[in-house]
Amino acid sequence: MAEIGEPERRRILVPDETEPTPQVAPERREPTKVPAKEPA
Amino acid sequence: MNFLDIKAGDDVEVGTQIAFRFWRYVFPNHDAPLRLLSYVSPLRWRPKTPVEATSPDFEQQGIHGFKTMEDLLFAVRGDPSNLITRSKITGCDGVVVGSVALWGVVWEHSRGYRAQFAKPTSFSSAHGEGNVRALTELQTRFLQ
Repeated sequence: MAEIGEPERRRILVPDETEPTPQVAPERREPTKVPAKEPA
Repeated sequence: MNFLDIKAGDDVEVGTQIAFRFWRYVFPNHDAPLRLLSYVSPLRWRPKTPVEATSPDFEQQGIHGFKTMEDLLFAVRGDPSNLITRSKITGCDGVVVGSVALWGVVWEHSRGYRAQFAKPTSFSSAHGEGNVRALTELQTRFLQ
């Protein structure tokens, strides 16, 4: 198929049916335990 | 697609470009399913699967397609049956005409395109041995 003529322009096409971006679950972190202060 | 192929200043379009092309088909031995191959290269097209070509930024690489069916017919001197002989020389049974969706880096030419990615969207006619069976099988197995 070499008979498509002379090149005219370069295009970038992105299909609109692209797969959704995988959702990465946020890292689960345990809350830091702060030692209770001793009453003054 | 590889976003490194996008250069500064490039416009990014959302969607695909429809083009028209032809392939070779072959019925393998032992009742295996029909195989679809590019007409010039040995690239095999698999059912419902996009194909990726060498970047069309490199020389004349990429998946070729014509802008219109008239452009395709002009290239084959008005009759896709003119392509059967070469397909048989390469061990295939015939040729099939159809359309593809193109995307990624797409070089637009005066009468066609060269693209990074493609997927068949229709098969309109088949020419050669078992052409009716080939067309039915392609329309059933290769299209979503």
